Amino acid sequence: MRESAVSEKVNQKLIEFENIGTIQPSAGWNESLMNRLASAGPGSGSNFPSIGVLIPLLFIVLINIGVILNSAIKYYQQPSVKDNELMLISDELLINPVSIIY
Amino acid sequence: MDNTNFPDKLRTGDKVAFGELVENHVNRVINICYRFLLDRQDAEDVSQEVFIEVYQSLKSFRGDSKISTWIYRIAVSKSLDEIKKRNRKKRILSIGKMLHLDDIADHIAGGPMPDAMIQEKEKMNEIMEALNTLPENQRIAFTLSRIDGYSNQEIAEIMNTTIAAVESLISRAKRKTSTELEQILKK
Repeated sequence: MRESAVSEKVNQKLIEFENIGTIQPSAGWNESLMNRLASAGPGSGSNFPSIGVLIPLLFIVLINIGVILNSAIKYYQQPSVKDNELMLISDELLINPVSIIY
Repeated sequence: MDNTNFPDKLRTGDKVAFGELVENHVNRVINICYRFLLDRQDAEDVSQEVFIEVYQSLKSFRGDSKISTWIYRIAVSKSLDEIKKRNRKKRILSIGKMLHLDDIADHIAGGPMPDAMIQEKEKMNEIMEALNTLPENQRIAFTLSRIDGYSNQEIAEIMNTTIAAVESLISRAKRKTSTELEQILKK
């Protein structure tokens, strides 16, 4: 296709786009909108919780994690029942506890 | 209707106030959608989605722009979402055709289009293809500028930018669209 013919066609397409007429909503548009609104419900506009809910929730979660971690640390720091018994025996027999355990 | 408490009435879900809002803006909204989508049926569907979102989001409307500007922004956003959906469907269809899975691809893409709709769309195929290559901002500015009754001032408000920026976007969009159309028409 010649360059001038192409340019003319391009201008024609742009003018066609510019001259697209306006439309009016069809006869059932309003009723259809009302039906869709009725089934959609009011909603909050967003499915994500608001920041006022998120921050206290995050705070509670962090506290829970802190409590769990603290309990876990204390539990593992405490000597076990077996360790306690071995310590008692070693004290009674005046034996070094490390040589008993390993 | 007394308009002094109109925004408050809208926020409290007053149906009469909402009905008035729809009536005042439906023509502009549907024509924004139509200019982006170049399809009447799609424009009607998307314009309804716009008003559903407006209705659901009225409580969170902060009033930092005019309510009309806010509505038209939603219309632009929803129209662009629909275009992205269409482009995804086209990709599914073309992959399907490559793999000779036309029926399955049609089904996944949402079914074949009726003939009349295909004809209408084909008329605007080349311009649509060219517009699809534009960066989003250019496309919005250019498309809105082609609709009667939209000044660069109004477009700047919808796009939350300056008039100078809008003018620049329109100019670049026109050049790019022309270049792309030339390539498309030479094929």
